[in-house]
Amino acid sequence: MSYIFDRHLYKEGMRQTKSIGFTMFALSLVSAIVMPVYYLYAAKKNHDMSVVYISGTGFAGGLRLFAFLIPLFLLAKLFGFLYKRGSSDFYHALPYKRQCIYFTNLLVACTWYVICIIVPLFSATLLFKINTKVRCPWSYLGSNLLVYMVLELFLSGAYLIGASIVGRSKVAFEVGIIVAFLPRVLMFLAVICVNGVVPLIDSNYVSYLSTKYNLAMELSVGAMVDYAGYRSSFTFAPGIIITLIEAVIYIVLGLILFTKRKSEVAENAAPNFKALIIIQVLLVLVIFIFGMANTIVEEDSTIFISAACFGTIVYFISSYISLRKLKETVKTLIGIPLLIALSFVFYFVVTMAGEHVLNDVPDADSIESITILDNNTSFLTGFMGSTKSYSAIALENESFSDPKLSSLVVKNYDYTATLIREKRLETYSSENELIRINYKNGKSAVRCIYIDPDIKETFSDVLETKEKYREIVCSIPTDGEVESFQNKEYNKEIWDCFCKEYEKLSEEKKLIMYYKSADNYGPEYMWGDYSEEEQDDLGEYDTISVRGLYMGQEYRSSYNIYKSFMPETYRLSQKLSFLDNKERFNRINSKFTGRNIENGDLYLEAMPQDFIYKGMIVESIIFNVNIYDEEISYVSFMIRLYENPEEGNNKPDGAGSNEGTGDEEGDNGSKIVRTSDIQLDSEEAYEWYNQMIDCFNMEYQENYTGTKSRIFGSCYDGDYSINFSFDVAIKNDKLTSFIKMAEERNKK
Amino acid sequence: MIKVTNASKHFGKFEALKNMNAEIAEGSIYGLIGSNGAGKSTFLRMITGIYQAEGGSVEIDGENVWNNPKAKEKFLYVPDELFFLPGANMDRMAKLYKDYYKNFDEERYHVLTERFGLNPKANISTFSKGMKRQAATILALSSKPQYLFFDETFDGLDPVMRRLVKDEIIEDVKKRNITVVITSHSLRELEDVCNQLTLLHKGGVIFESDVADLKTSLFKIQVAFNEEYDETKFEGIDILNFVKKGRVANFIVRGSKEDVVPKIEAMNPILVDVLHLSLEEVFVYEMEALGYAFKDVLM
Repeated sequence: MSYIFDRHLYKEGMRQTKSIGFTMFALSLVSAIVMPVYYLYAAKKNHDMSVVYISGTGFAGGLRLFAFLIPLFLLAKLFGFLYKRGSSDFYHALPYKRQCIYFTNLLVACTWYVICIIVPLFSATLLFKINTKVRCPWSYLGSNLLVYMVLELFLSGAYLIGASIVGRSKVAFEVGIIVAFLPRVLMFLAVICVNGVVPLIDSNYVSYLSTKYNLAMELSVGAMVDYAGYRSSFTFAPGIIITLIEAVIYIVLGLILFTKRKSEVAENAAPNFKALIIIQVLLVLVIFIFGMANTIVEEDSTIFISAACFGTIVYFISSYISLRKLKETVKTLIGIPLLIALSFVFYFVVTMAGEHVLNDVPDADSIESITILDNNTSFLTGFMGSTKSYSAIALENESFSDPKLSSLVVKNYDYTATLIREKRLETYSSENELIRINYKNGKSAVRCIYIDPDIKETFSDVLETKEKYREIVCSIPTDGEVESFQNKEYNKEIWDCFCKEYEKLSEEKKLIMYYKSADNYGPEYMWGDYSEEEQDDLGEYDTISVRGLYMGQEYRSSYNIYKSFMPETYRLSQKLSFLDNKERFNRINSKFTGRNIENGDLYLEAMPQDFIYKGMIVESIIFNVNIYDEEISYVSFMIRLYENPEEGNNKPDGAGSNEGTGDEEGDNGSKIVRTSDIQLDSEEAYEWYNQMIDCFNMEYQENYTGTKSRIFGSCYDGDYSINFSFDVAIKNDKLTSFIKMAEERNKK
Repeated sequence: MIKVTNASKHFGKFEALKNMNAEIAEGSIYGLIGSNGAGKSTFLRMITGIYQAEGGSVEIDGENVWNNPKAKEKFLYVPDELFFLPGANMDRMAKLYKDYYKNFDEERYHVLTERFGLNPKANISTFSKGMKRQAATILALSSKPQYLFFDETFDGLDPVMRRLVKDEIIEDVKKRNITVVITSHSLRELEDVCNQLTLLHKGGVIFESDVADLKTSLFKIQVAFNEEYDETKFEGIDILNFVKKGRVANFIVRGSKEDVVPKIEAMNPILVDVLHLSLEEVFVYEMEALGYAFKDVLM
């Protein structure tokens, strides 16, 4: 006889959970494949659809909700026998060890987890893979599988602890929630509170106290509070490992409690009255603590009082539902003073922790090194949803030693602490650095240090003298580290060219590109032979973004392709972008001129640069039609002109957005002239459209010698829309004639 | 053999069983009677390993029952509050029991199902309360365990079915020497099937006896004399209860009929009659002798 597993019990468990299991499976499957199916449909309908790069979390994002529900429903069914006298007696009288019942039923649940998680994820992956317009690496399948299975085990362990203690389904669920979330929620509230009062710490960098070390918290609360952290949870190995360890601990604890469980608990809310009070206190504790946390941060005691009142009502209602007797419920109110006491314990703990941080100004001699962390991921001052850049991740894994850096830490730390004590710190407008201080005794601390403007030397000034620092910020992702590009497939070709030219750049140019990058919001720097003015304006540039995995973390980096630094890449980028847009324009043109649009609309706008007509600046030419039943139902034609242009190319201030009558003035006194609402019939609309297009040279030119115009537009034909935007050369004579024609028509 | 030694059980402040001792020999049909809350079901749950005894021990064939599948394989428990697998019919339950109990007799199962007139394919949830009890009994009997425990099972059966079940139990005891424990709050139910009876009251055993001994140890005598007389006339006879109306007296005697009747006949009564007592009457007088009022214990 097995003491761990019994196949008859297993078969019976599978039979009993058949309905729930298949329902959960169906819901999970739908939630997982809705996105890939949508993309398949979109790709089929819209041939112009851009390539989509699926993120690790967007891969099967809908599954997240069901991942929380699946263990609850399954285990409530499998262990539901514990909550009724009849069924409890039946199962406990059967010739099984309790351990066998526990593990066999858990294995039944795990079987369904596999079905409800693996099959949907695998299906989603396959559906993404067969779509040529979607890029989805196989690694997402693996990471999602691991994360969700660990999550299911964790939630199972938490629920089983509840089921093994109490005798009612509702209370078992409550205890499960308490076990799964309460410790982490309290940690989270404490950290947030200390962070709010003493912004020297950062909630996203509190080691084990952070929500990212627990998948259940990170995939629920963490996703709402720190989306970037949530995204990285699918690849954050420590979080997965620690959650797995906690899951195993909970499952083992559940087993011990289940084995010792008194069968007579069935149909009772708790084994005894004291236990019931403890459960109710823990259940409502979050409300009290939340109120106290806000009171501490906002320094407003009415918040706690309101929270306490609300919490008391919730406590009463919950107790009554569990006990179903008013007299007994009133007796449980003894828990309220306990809740208030615990709230004040929280208050003292947080206050003490904050004081400790404030007073913990390091001694420069005790600092071994510092590590630069990504400011964008700071809880208070960062950007929610931001993903770390490649170099930010690299910097986080390097430490820099220098007495000057240590001195800067001490000075700015002290400055920050003083500002906080004097309540003069403005977190959102003050410059700060997020750093990890590595002490000589082996300990470390992450601090958000605000920069004293009176201190001339900055962290970056010192860091730039370090070869390692320069090497890191100047490095770009290797081929193996790049998984996707933003939007367009041709970006791969541009990236390859970029990498070749980048390698040949001098270090100073690479540094300039680093500081100028959209990833880095640092101040302007003078470097090398470039003057400040020259650094301010490096001329035309394009941007390329790459995404991938680096050191186990998801990154996204943007790089400026300066024409002056990387002419070949810039040319390639311009050309490929042009050709891509041209191709889409051709499709629109073909559809419209071929009269193949059944129902839809076409918008076309040209914005000439430096084109003068009769002394007026031509700001834009707009052509817009609606098509219904293959016939043009509405035409709008508009030309915007400005009188008295200043300094040649400049438009008057404030001009360009007003719907004027022709006599309006811009801010500096110039006159806005507009030719608009020219009434055209259908045939005229086609004719004018062709004439308008004919005013521009639609061929790619590497260097525009004459005037050029930005052409952009869109076409929607009832199924999907196509957009384009690119620069073309102007045929000056033709454009002049066209505008003249429009002017004369307008006069009529 | 089932051996319970100094076993107690509390539910909060309520003492359901206190220092319970019992030895139930193999091949016996052990009856346990008591009013509601006396501890009968608690006792059964303890010997079936559902409850863990607080202090003391509960053993079946020398093995502690608690969390011991080897011991639990030997018995089948039919509780007062019946449970069947959700959506199950009798055939499915039979299959379940067949998996757990090696001696499950399918032929007996079919015979009993037919004899009781139950449809084994019908969902048990559609059965009446009595039919459910019949189904549970059939499954228990068909499983052929070494020990059978029935918790107030007979109370829900009609007289015909009750007789049927009793016959099956007695047959099993004779053929396979099984041990059966039956609880009830009706002495009449247990009278003709149990060979050992225990009376529980407020968690403790207040009376325990072999049934045969019980029936033969007490008897009623009806006498009448011409002359005046009272109880003192019968000195030397162990009288539990003496009631006289006119010249006729009825009294309950503990002892041997062979000894007592000749003594009374020697007094030249005009009437001597030996009347049998029902088990209930025996209990009443035995408990009165112990200082309990019957109605307080079994009502």
